[in-house]
Amino acid sequence: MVKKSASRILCKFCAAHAEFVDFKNVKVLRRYINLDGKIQPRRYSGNCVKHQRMLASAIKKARIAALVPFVRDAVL
Amino acid sequence: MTAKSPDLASSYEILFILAGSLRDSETKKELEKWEDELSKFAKILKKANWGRRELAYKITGETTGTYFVAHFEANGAQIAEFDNSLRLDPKVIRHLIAKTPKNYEWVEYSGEDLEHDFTKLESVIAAKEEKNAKKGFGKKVFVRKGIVKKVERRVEKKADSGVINKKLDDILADL
Repeated sequence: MVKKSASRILCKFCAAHAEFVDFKNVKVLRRYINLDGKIQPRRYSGNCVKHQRMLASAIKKARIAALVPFVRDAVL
Repeated sequence: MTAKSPDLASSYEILFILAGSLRDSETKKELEKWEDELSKFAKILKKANWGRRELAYKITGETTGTYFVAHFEANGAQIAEFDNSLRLDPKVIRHLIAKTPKNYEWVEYSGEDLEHDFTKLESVIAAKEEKNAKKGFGKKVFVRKGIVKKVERRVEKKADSGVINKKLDDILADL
C-alpha cells in the first residue's frame, strides 16, 4: 500500500475552534462552493465530518436566503 | 423526547427579504411593521438591516431585495403564526426562520463581506488555463456556454444600476 503523504489537509473550522458555521457568513461559504454552485466534498476541502455537516446545512440556508446561488446559471 | 413547558423560550434567527422594487418609504414602513409584529411575542436580542442588495437569483422577477436579520427568543408555537403571516405578504419575497446553533454568537456583517464577486469567475478560468498549460493539456477550459458573456453583462448592469440609483436618490432628495 502506498503511504499517505506527510502533509495532511486539516479542517479549517477545527483550526479556528469554530463551534458553528453561520449561514450569513457568505465569504466563508463561497470558499466551499464550486463554479456550478455545488457543495465541495470533504475529500477536497479537508473538513472534519462534524464541520462539513454544519457547513452543508449553512450553505443550504444561504441558498434559500438568496445569498448564494443554487445553480451558477441562475445567477445570471 | 419530553415536551417543553410553554414558557420555555428558545433562541431563533430570522431573515426576510422585502422586494427591491418597493419605494424607500414603503420599505421603511414594512420593516417597522414586521419588527412590531415580531416584538409582540418575541424578545429581540439583536437586529440588523443590510439594506438593498443584489439577490443570487431572481425571486418573483425581482433582482434586488432589502434584507432584515434578527436574533430573538420566543416560543415555537407562536412562531408558526408569524411564519404564516410572512408567507402571505407579497411584499416579503423570501423569509427564513431557523433555530440558532449551539453556542451561537451574533456577528455583524459589513456589506463587503456579503457582496457577490461576479468578476471572480474570470480569474478562476484564467487560473485553470494556466494550470492546464503547465500540465500540457492545452489551453482550453470547458465552461458552460454563454456564462462568461452573461457575467460580463451582469457586471455592466450592476455598474449601470448604481448610477441610476444615485440619480433617483438625487431626484427624490429634491422633492
